[in-house]
Amino acid sequence: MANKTIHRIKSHLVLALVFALGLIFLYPSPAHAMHIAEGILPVSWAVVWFVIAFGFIAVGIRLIGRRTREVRGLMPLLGLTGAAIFLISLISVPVPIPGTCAHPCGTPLAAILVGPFISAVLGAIALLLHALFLGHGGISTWGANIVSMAVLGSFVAFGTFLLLRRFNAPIAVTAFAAGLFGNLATYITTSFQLASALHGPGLFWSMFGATIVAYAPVQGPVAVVEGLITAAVILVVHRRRPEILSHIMSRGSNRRLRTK
Amino acid sequence: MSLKDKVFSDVFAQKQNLVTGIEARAKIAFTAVALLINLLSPTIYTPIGIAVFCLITLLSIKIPPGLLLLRLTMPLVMAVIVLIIQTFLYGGTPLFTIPIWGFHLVGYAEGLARGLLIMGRVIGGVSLILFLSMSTPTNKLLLAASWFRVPKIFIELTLLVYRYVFVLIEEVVAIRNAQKVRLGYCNWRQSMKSLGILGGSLILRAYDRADRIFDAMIARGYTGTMAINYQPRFGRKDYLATLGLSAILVVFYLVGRLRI
Repeated sequence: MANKTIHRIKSHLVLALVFALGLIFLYPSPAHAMHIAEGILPVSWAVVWFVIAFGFIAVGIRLIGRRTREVRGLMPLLGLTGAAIFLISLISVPVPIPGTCAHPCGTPLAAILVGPFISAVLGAIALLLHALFLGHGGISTWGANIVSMAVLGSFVAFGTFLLLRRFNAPIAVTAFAAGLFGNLATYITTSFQLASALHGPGLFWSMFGATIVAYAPVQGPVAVVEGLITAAVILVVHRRRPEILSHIMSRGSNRRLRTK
Repeated sequence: MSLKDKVFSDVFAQKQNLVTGIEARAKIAFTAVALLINLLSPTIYTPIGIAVFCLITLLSIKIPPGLLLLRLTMPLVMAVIVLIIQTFLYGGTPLFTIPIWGFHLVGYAEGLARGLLIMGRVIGGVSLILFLSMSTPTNKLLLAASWFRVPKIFIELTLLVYRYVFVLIEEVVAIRNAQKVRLGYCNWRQSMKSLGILGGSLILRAYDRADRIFDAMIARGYTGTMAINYQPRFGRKDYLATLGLSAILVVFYLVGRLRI
């Protein structure tokens, strides 16, 4: 019985490797951050992810509502920032593999600019527009995609940025790491969502591992691209208009503690 | 096709025809129920029926077949990946064996059937979303969503993001062209630098524009939030259309229960 299970896990890994090699050559360019397509998740899992996602979105909407009462010009600002980030996520970035390019998610960048909860709301809007007009993602899978890309992508990126700022890491390194880990969090969460919904009576970890390995050649470069673009954009903003980042720079830096 | 049309294909929804004339609330309700029927379908017949209905309807209102195919590509790639993973990792009745690197990858009958059903649901679900988005103008779609009690802040923000995407897209084209004539994007390193400046400039212009737009909105009576009130008349034509769409939903449901 144990031998049979081990043999099956090995077979799954071989399949994943073959798959990964196949994706390098056959995946359509440009490569996008992983969106779960409409129809892939069963109803039960779709509902679970919707409930989790709406919790974060509700907090984000309340936060926007509260801040709108304090700063009346916040909505046009968020609208324009959301549109800018949406467009940045549509820009094809060349990847040093011949003939391929990738799209960043944009949520790590949004999290650094406006904070993770508001970034989650902007990410949810971007995902809705992606699903409706570009065929990326879906309506029943909107909740799952919000959790992986808008929520975890934002929170992991924001946490990474704050953590590295505490160690006074250079801004370029901090922003790169935020983009990279924010994107990787999206990729790992999406693999988890796919494996948990589709593994059936089989082994969950085997399905999870197979999905991770199969998507690695595509999603690895996308994560690096996300990091590079986040770093490049944050550097430009920091050099030209540092006051835009003042909220996160003052919060993350350890300099204040050191002077005590 | 212009860049705008590539990003948002709802330009077709602005045209006047029988399908775009159906009330947005009726189409939203139809799509939501049909998506549920699609996900709960025990056989592949319902998803196929939904896809055939939606695609024929869209072709009949002169949506270019190439655009429909383009929008279906990304979801189909993910569906094929799920189909292959399911075939090899799900089930217990061996269907075929592929010897590779000393291992025998076994394809299972149950996995193949499940994978094909998921693939069908993807095609059916994406066709439904295309039916909704390509036949309903976005502003009507979002305002109709307010009738379904979607939070007003979310609708307002989505409307602003949608509006400003078109404003900023002109900026993206102008900056990119200016960079190209100054030898930007000539190699990978230069491309990354150019993209960083493009993204950073876009964020800065978004922030600058937000101030000007807020002033203009204040001059037009803006108080911090937009008045969203969607109460169009639901006429006899709309009742007839709703009746017709409901009958189609019943057919979709029954087709899925066929035993062929």
